[in-house]
Amino acid sequence: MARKYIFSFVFVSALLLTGSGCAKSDTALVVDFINSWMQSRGILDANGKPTAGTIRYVASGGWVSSGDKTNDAIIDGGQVVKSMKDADEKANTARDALEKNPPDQAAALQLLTQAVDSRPNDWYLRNQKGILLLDMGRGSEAQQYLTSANGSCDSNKNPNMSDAQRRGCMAQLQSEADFIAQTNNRAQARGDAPDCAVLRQQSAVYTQLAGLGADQYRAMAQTAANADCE
Amino acid sequence: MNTDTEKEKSEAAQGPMIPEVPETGSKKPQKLETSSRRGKKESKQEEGEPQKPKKKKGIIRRIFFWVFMLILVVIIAIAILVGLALRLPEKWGLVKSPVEKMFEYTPDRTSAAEILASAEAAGLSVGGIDVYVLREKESDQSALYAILDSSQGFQLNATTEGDPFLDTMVALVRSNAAGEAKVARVSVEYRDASGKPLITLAAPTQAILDFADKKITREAFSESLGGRVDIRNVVEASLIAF
Repeated sequence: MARKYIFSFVFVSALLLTGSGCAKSDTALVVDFINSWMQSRGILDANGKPTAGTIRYVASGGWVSSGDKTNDAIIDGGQVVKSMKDADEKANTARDALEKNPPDQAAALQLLTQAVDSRPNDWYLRNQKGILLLDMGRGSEAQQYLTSANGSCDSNKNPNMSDAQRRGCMAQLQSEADFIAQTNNRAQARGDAPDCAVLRQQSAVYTQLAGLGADQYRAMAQTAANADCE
Repeated sequence: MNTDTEKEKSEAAQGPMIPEVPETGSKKPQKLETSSRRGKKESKQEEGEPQKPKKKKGIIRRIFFWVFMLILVVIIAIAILVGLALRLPEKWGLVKSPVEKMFEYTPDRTSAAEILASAEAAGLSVGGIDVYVLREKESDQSALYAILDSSQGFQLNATTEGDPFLDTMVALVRSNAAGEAKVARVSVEYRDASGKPLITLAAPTQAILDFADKKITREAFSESLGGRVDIRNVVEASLIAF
């Protein structure tokens, strides 16, 4: 294994030396950068050949520490990002299923459930599942996803929110509020009274939006709380 | 007197007086015992010679068994250590990795979009760049993870005087959005034209900004850069590139 790595180093070094006179592609530029970085960290010598540091590098599995554990942790962030990307893709496919005519709610719910299962603390995904459950008339079931999801956007529970997080929360809560309004409109169009669970959620969302600084939602929260429901 | 003395002499020569009646009864079992003991001794003597190698075989078997067990324990211990070193439990999804625990909360998607928009406004070609702002657990800071994917259209700006790879890192953190999201550290993963990762680098935001402002040298900045290089992918990419 180690021999294979050392051979690879020599091979890359030889390629770098022979290719140094050509016009460089992006990959060549990056390989060039890798070579210079490895030289600066003592993994390769000035001629691009393996050193004693190469053995340490190979033994550590091709990993170089920055000397700061917290900083090093983000090097492995790729696996977190991959799970986020996979979950987001499932959520996007779920939205596509809902935009079909007629909407495929069962397929969308299955995809969102998978997304939430893989990232249970991502309120953005929980929120979408909750909204879909509301739309399916499963208000009480939706509540657990919406309550949990909106908990992290509650300014009382999370006072150290950055401005960007605050803006993100507002954008999410507004989209949720819009969806709830649409759900209520659909119920009224059918001649039904709005679902009590949906109205309670609407009131909660408006209250949180008001807590984040959007005062116009304060009165709307009260109206939703006092509305007649079934 | 003479007869008495003769009797005494003959008695002394015969030994003490022994009761007559129990003589026959007590002698028989004594004879049986001795014969059975002898039989055992004889049988032991007969079987004694082949029994010795059996004992030796038993001891050798036991030694082999314990040596085998010891080797097995050592092999299992080594396998566990290697498995832990290669982070197999995390790869197999048995346990959450430290990084997954650290960034398990909702990523800041709004800030990620804003950072990318401001980098584009600053002149960075953002095609093929995916940006994630990960909120650190038990901290109000964030980490930025960017994927520069050549297979998705990312291109380095080779016309810049400095290092185009590091310049991309600088462009991503030099925005108000990054400051507002409290991005404390940045990681950049470069993928080649076939989408394979070649290198992942990570550095504190302050070090990147200090390097961009020429407050620290390139060598000093390199020291603060941690990372991982996929040698196999680099070799494959090099074969195509050169």
